[in-house]
Amino acid sequence: MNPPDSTSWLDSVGQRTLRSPAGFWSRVRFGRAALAATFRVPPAERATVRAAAAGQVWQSGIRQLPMVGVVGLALGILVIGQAVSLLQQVSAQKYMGTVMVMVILRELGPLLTAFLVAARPGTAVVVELGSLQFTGPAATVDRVRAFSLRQLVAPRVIGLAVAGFCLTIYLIAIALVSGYVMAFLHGVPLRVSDYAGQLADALHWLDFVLIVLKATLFGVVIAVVSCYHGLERMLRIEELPAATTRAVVEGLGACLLIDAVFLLGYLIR
Amino acid sequence: MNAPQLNSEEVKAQRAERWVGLFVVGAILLLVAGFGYHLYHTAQRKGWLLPQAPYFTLLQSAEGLNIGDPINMMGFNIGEITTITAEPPGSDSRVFIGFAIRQPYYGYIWSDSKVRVATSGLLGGRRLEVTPGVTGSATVYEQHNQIAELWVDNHRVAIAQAQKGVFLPPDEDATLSARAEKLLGQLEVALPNILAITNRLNRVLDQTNVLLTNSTALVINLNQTATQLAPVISNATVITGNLRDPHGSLGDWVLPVDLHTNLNTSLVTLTEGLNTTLLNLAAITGSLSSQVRSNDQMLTGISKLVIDTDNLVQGLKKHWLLRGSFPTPKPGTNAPPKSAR
Repeated sequence: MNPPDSTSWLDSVGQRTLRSPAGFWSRVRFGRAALAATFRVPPAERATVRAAAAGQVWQSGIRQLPMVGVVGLALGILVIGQAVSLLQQVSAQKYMGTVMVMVILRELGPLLTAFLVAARPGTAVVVELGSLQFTGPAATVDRVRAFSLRQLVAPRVIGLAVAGFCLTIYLIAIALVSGYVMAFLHGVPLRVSDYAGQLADALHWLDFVLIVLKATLFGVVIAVVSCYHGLERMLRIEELPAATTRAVVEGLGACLLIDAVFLLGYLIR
Repeated sequence: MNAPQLNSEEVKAQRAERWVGLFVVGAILLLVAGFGYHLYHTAQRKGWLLPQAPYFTLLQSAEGLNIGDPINMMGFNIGEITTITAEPPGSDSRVFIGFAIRQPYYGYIWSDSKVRVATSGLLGGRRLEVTPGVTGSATVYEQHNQIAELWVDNHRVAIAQAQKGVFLPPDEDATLSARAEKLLGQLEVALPNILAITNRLNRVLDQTNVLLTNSTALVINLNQTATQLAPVISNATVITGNLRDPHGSLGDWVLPVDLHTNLNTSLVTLTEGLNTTLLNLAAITGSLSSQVRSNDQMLTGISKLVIDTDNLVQGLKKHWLLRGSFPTPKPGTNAPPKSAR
């Protein structure tokens, strides 16, 4: 066994730096191809793709509902628990709806859902596609054919996009309801109609557009990144954990970047 | 004809599709319901479904005002600004502000209502507030729950003919910058006076300086005087001490040593004199008593002399020689005199 080289980490940094632009453009090309394959499914293959997408929604959406429910419940309780104690000190309970909209609906709801999707269905996608590598049906990213993209990537992109959107809506709804329950248990003098009025006052029509776009886009990005890392190269079984970790980290990083871009939408509103 | 038989995989896929459909439709319904409630609430809040009466006012500045800003009255949000345009050059007022007031709040707005432009926030923002009418006439007239006429130029005019709406006179607070500008102008006007006051103050200070110099000299003189007075005060202190001490030289001079003895002697002499005087007084009183007794005897003798004299006179009356000189009076009567009858 060779002794550890003292400059190996420097080599690693240098390699990553030199490879990063190429890796970035490789991901962009893959993403473009994946989206093209998703939107241009031939009629003969649509039934297959739809069935596969439904299965993906089942796996990535419906089966994640309990987890999303628990997270939404905890989120509502935590946010309202913190906000109530602060708002009551300054007699500003009327801003509870505003806090819920700003914190849960605009930011934490979509982001937490993206975390969950990246951590569970996203890693599953990496493992699935990585496993297909050594059983034969799939090819590496560089040699992947359009047919494989339509059969393997398109259903996952559709599935994760739909799952991400739906899970985000459910998580926000559960968090808003649990937040009210928490406020009620705290003894905040707030009727359901007043709470709903506060939420409606704090909302803007653009919120509904942006929430749909953001949640769907998060799902698409996580799907593309996960598929890319699953199909990146021939994976040995011991390489799967590292590949899933990279997929999760890159997927979440991309989601945060997209979230920052959406923040501009709120600012220029 | 029998229906095609589905294998277990197809049944499973169909079931999964149903659940997926339910999952997706549920999320979309939640989103649509939220958006619908938001629209409904916004419509209620902004009065999209209520009749709105047009009003306008003319201001000097539109600073801090924006289209869509709320109009307040009595603490309620009653409408919003719909138009902000500049008036033609040369107009008395510079900015046209049009706004819409919702039912039923326009019922409070009469012809004597005003639009108050109040400041809001710390950053110089402004907002419009309408004051409720007190003595004027109503500005909006409804028919069948719809606005039919407006009160324009002291006449009722159909709403179609009053596009701009009802004019409400403004009560405009100057903006922060205008107030600062005005303050600067006042400062410029006041500056010469301030300079004159400063000059006078300078003169007063000069005089005060001279006064202070004189005061300093005076204080120095007073110091010298005080220094010179110090021995005098010391002597006075000594004298006072001597005065306080009866055994001192001055004390002895003012208060003689045998003062008590002399006083005793004088008092004894005085007492003796008083005793003699009292004895003489007693003797005088005794003499007076015996004198009074002698007077009593003398009065008795005088009385006897008077009685004897009377007896002599009565005897002389009866003497023949002198009887004619004493006529006997007629017996008296109680009858009244003749002249009185």
